[in-house]
Amino acid sequence: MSKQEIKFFSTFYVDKLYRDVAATENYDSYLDKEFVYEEKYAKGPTGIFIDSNLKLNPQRSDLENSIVLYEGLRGLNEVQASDERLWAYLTHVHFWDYMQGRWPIEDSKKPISRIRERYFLRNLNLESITRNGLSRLWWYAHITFDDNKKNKYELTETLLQRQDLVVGITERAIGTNKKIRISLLEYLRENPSIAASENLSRELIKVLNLYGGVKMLPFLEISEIKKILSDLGSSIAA
Amino acid sequence: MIYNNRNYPHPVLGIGDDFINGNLNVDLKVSSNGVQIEIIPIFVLSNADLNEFIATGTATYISHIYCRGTLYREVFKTQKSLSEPIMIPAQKLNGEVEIDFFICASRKVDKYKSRDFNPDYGNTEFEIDRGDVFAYAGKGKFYANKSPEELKSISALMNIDCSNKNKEPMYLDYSGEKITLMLSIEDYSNYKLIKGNPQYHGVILSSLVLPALIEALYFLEDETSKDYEVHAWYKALKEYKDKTKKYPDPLRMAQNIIDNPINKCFEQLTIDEAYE
Repeated sequence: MSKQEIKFFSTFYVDKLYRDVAATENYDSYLDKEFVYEEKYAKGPTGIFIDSNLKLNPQRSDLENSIVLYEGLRGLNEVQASDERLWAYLTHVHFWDYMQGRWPIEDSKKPISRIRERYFLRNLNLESITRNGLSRLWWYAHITFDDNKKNKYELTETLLQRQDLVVGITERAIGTNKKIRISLLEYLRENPSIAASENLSRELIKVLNLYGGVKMLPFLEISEIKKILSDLGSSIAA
Repeated sequence: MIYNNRNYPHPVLGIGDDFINGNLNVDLKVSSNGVQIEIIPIFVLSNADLNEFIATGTATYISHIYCRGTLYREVFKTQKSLSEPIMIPAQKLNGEVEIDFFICASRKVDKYKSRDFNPDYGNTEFEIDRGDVFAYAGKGKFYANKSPEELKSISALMNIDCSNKNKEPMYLDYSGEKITLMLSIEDYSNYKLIKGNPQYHGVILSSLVLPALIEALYFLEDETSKDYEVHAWYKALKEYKDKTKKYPDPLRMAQNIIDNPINKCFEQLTIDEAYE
């Protein structure tokens, strides 16, 4: 297995690529087989290595790709994983084929918005981290990976079973705390009738979010949060 | 996260006029050695009932730390007004970090009332559960993995780049992490010729950076600038503007940020004259 060191695009270059797409409204380069970039702006060393043969398959599910990418980038820490320079390099260079397959520009009604949202990671916040075409996959696995479980990606499976669950959990503040996240995903796993219903699971997330607005949920233990979820779950299912 | 605009189901010290007496304040110290971030909150509570709750373990001081950039959100509990330092690995936090300070119930209280409640509450008693908020001290903020110098330097705020037109006035693009000063092709190629020469630094600062910064400071006053509030340039300029009251107008403020460019420019130009 040969490893190659990932580079970062410089901040200047990321800003330039981003600006150029919007200012010129010319996105031809995003339709090409290969993205031609200026080598001098791909900087290293970064100390981050990836298997040269590591590929993501746009035909496969987000769950499968999430696990493959996370396993391939296990050494990444949170600061590196929130760095736009890394993800912009990976979307435009190493995983260009995947990006073109998973987030095709030619099929998009709003190609410029798609490029800016999926190929870049403009703002350092919950929403953009889970919008970038690659960082989302890494973060889904990272926030649900559990070394203590037999299937370490059990909660990743629960999270990614439906897109509305992903949005409901990862784009709300309740999703940022590990204890709340684990409690919610375990509760959904233990209560498949709620998890399977888009309406019930959406309502559960909504009321938990409201509950968390006036109570310090991260202060509580997982068992206590699950008890709250059980009460909320019973009332919405009634 | 915003906590002081919420409607709690019981009176909370520090929220509106729920209480007529008492205060919770926090003195915050944050430092980093590059590997660990050390956070020391010192809680100062002046309210007899809540002090009693802390002393008996009914309530706990809480530091709630949230970094939107790395999805980090944890609470740290203590019974002491001066706790052991909170240590967080530096690789867990990036960019803006918010810390909110609370007193929360660590056990159930059946009939919570206080002589310091606003009289509007009358003799009402409240049922308090574990995790409910008794007091809120407000928010602190710091920037992880950025040195103060890095945040202050003009290169952390601004780039210069080439637009795709041969001749046009310079303008600013705010969409990046840094503001980009866009020059026409002709101006940009001339800029490249002189930018490496220290003799022209003052000229570049005065003729390009200074007007750009003034424009950006005016832009900051415009409501539409809030669309960019998550960008590094916005945070740095906003913080500078909020903290520096010495110069109220953008013209003087901008000169202060880039350390008196007019003076530098004249100095360099007059030295050149003297050599001729």
